[in-house]
Amino acid sequence: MIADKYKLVIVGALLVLGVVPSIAGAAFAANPYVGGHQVSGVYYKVTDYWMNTSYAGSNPSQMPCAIQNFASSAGGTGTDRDGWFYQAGSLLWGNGSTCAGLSGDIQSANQVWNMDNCCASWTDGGVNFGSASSISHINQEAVWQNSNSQVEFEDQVTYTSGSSTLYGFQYTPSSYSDPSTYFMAGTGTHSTISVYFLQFGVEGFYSGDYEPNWQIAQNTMGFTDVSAGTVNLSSLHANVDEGDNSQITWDSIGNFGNIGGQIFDYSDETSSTGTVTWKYNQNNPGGVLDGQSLW
Amino acid sequence: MNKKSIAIFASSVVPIIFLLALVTGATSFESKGNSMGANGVVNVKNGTIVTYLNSPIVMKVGIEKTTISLGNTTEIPITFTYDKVNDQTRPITVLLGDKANQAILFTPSATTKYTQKEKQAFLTSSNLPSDAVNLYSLESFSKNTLTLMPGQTTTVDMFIHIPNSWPQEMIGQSIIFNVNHRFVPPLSIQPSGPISVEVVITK
Repeated sequence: MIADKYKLVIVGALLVLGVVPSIAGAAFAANPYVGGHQVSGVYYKVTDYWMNTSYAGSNPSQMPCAIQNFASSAGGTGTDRDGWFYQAGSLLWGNGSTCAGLSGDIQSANQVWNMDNCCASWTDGGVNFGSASSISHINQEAVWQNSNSQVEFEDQVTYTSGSSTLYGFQYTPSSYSDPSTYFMAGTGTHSTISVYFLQFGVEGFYSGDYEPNWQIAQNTMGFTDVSAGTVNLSSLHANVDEGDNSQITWDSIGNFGNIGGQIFDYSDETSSTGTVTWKYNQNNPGGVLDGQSLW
Repeated sequence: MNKKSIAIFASSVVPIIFLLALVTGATSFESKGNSMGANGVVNVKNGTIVTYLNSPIVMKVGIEKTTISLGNTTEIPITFTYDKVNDQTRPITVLLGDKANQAILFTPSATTKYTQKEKQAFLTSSNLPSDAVNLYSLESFSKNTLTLMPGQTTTVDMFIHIPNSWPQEMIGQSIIFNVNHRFVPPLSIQPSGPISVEVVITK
């Protein structure tokens, strides 16, 4: 009888030790992230969304790895989310040896994710926009086209010289079994948990990467909805979401997909209506507060 | 199992769950926190997390900065190396000169002259105004398709031709020419290494 008791204890322990790491692993896969979202109802038929961004004020010579900059939107069928999400983005490489990147340069980072996969389903292949010091700002946009059968990620890079280059990258959802035909925006709820279908924010490059010496401005954000037309985020309230509260979608069995997933320690922000500047602040170890108002 | 056995089972499991919850920082075991790292920095392999920061593909342009005069063509070797990362065995195909990508350069005056929507319309237009240049149309490659196996390195030549019709406004300026490429299947991490050529255009 005693032997049976120990057997049950051992079996229970083995079961837990086998199962829990697979759950905890997802949490450990998280990256530092701090972002914002609009406070509004849900928009189910978003055909494009955009954001203007600038890395001015960053010091890549004092950055060991990289800082990423995303406008993210859940994919949807027009009536519901579907577990996929889209990220129109770019990143600034530091000069450190931690990551093998393009030192001091800004690179494209447009991505599409199925939230149940470990890794991005699609990336744009990587394009070098040039040195951060030569770039004034970047307009990042994602657009449904060809009767909503294709998404084009568009990055218009404006240089300090006055010239600009417009890059286009095409993603075809049917090639990846992605059922999406629209983006989504707004704040919804699932199982009492808030989900932010359109987010703008910054992300470290790997788990625990509280990257120092960066500053990223995000402004002129908005989207087009089939019914509502053009919606500028400056016309709505916006709050911070980060860490384990940055849900952007959920899957068919109720799992939530997050952006980032870790609190971005040493992050800070200044904001006014429609504009936020995220930045590193070594005197703010706890980072920006989750849920605080941006505008 | 009878009720007593279930109670013993539960008494062994619950404290362990609680202990592990404290260790991992998890507050509950609801299906939440399916967090996504960006740029594919992490990968799940056999139930454990493998963290790596570098792409499996290292792309290296042989010349990172050069000068090309109007009407001339320059040859630049591009090396692709497929590093062995996480014991990957699948081949990766590199498509060069792919039509799915676009890069259109606008002169300073064109940047302010055209609206954002007008510029975006040029992405699908075969006729560009004289103050806009389709940069990828100026590139060609010695091969348009490569297939790489893990551990393999291959070099192709990229040719950049600067036409005589190059906008006057952009003479003497530095232009970033990216290697127009696409990976099949797509990489979860962008390729590392010098992936573009900075070209100063001269008369």
